[in-house]
Amino acid sequence: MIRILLADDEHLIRGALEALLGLEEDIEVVASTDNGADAVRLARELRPDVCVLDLEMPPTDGIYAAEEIARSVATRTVIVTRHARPGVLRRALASRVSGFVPKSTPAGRLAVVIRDVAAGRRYVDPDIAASALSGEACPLTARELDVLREVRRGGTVQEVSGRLHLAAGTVRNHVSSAMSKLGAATRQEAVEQAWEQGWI
Amino acid sequence: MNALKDTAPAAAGHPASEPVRGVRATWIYTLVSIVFLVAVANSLTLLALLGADAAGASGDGPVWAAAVLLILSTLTTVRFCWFLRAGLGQGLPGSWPVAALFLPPAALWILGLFHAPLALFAAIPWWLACCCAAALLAPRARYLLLVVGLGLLVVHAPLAGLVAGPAAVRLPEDRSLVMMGVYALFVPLMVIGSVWWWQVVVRLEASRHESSQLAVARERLRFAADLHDIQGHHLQVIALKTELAARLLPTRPDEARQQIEQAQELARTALEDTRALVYGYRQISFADEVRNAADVLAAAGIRCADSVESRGLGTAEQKLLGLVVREATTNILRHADASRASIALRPEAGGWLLEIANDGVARPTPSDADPPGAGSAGNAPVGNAPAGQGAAPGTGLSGLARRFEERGGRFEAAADGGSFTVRALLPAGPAGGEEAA
Repeated sequence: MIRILLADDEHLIRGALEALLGLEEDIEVVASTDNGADAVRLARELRPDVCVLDLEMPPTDGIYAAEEIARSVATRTVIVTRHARPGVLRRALASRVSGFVPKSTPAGRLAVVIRDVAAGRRYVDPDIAASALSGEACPLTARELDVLREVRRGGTVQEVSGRLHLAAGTVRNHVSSAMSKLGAATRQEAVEQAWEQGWI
Repeated sequence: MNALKDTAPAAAGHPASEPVRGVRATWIYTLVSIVFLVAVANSLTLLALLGADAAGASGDGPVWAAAVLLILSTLTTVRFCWFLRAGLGQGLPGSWPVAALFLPPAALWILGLFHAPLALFAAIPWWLACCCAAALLAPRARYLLLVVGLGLLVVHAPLAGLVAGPAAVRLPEDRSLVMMGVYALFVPLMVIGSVWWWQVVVRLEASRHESSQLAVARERLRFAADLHDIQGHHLQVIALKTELAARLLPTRPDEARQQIEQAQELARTALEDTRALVYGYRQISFADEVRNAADVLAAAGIRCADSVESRGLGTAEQKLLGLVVREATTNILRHADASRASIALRPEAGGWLLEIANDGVARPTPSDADPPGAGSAGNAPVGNAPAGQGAAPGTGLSGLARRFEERGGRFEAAADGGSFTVRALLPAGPAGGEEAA
C-alpha cells in the first residue's frame, strides 16, 4: 500500500484527485490539505510514502514545501502544476523532487507516476521538460533571487530585510541590481519577470 | 545572405543588452571628439599667445592674464560639453553654466581689444563657446548666435586696430589666416553635426524600445485571441455535453457516461492545446537549449558535459536538433540511476552530428508506456518504441527517427554496455552549410 499526502489549494481539484486516487487499490490518501505549511507538518507527523504537492500553493509554493519536507522526512515528492514556467523544473530537481507532472494528467496516469516514484524512480513530464529547456538563462544571483522572492511575498523593504536577516540598504541594492539586469522599470516588474520565468 | 539568415537566431539571444552599450559608446565618442576639438583649438591659441609674448611686443602682464583666461575658458567650455548630451536644440542647461561658459571668453575678448598683439586670437575661445551653446538652442536662436559669434570673431582684429592703431595689430600670415578661417567654420559644423548624430542614435534607441513594447502588446492581444478561440470553443462544448449527460443520467446512464467521457477528452485536448500555444511562443537558440538541458540535469544530480559548435546552424536544423535534446533529456531524467551525461554537437560530413550519451542503464519502467501524444519511449531501442495510436508526428524517439530520415539524415539510439547513446546526423539543409558561418 502506498500512503500519500495531497496538498492543493484548489478544493475542487483536490477533492476530485482524492476521490480518484482513493479508487486505486494500492494507494491510500492519508492526509490532504490546502497549504504548504500544513503539508510540511502533516508529512512530519504521518511520514507518507509520497507527497503530491501543488506548485501554486500558499504560503510560498510547492517546491519550497517539498524542500522543507525532504529535510526532515524520508519521503518522495511529486509536484503537480497548472502551468510550468521555464525555470521551475530546475528548482524542483534541485530540491530533490522526484516527479513533475501537469495538472491535466489523468488521475489514472498520476497513479502510475506515484507508483513509479514510490519505487524510487523519477518521472518528468516531457512537455514540462521541453518548457524548462526553452527558458532564458537566469542572470540573477542566488541572493537577488532570495530578495525578489521575499519581495513577492509582500511587505516593506524593512520587513523583507528582517525576514532575510539583511540590512535594508543591502536589500535595496539587490533589488536595484536585479532591476537593471532584467531591464525592469519597477520593483514589481522585476518580480513579475522573475516569476514568469520560474526563477523564483 | 545565408550567413545573415543563419546567424540571426543566435544573435537574437540577447536582445536588450547590446544596443544600450552601443548608445553609451556613441555618447562617449561624441563627447571625446568635441572635447578634443575644443582642447586643440584653445591649445593652438595658447601657443600663439605665448608666441606673441616671446616676440616681446609688449609687457608680460596682459599676456599672462590672457593665458589664464584662456585656460579658464577651455575648462568651462569642456565642462559645458557634457550638457550636449541633452541633444540638438534641447535648450540651455540654466543661467549658471551659461554664464560660466561665456564670461571667461568674453573677458578675454575685451582684454584682446586693448592689447593689440592678442587681436583675433583672443576671440577664438569666444567662438568655440558660441558653437557649443548653439548646439543646444532651437534652430532660429542657433543661427542668430552663430552669426553674432562669428561677427564678433571677425570684427575683433579691426576693432583692436581702431583702439591701438592698425600698426600694432599683427595678424598671422595669409596662409595661416586661411587655415584658421577654415578651422573656425569647421567647428560649428563638427559640433552640431556630432550632437545631431548623437540625437539620432538616442531617437533610434527610443523608437526601438517603443516598438518592442508595442510588439509585446500586440503579442498579448494575439495570444488573448488565440487563447479565447481554443478555450471558448472547448468550454462551450463541454458545458453542452455535461448538461446533456445530467439529463440522460436518470434514464439512460450508459449514454450519459459516454457524454461525460467525451467531455473529459475535450477538456484534456483544450489543456494540451493551451500548452502548445504557450510553447509556440518561445523560440531559443540551440546552444541555449543545450545549456538549459545541462543545467536541468545538473539540478537533478547528473553531471553533464556539453560542447556545441553550432556556427552556421540554420533555424530549421536548430529546431529539429532541439527536439532531440528535449527528448533525450527527458529520458535521462526519468532514469534516476544516470549519474553522468554528455551532449555534443559538431559539424561532420557536410552536416551536423549530435551525440547525447548517459550512463543510466536501460530499464523499462511502467510509466514508459506513455499514452498517445505524451511522447517518449524511455531508453527503449528505436525499433521497439511504441508509436502510440494518434501520437503527434515527430514526438518520441521513433517519430524523431522518421523526421531525420525524411531529411536524409540518420538517427540511432542504442544501449552499449553501461551507457545509452542517441546519435543524430543531419545533413546541412539548402539554407545552411559549413561555409555559411
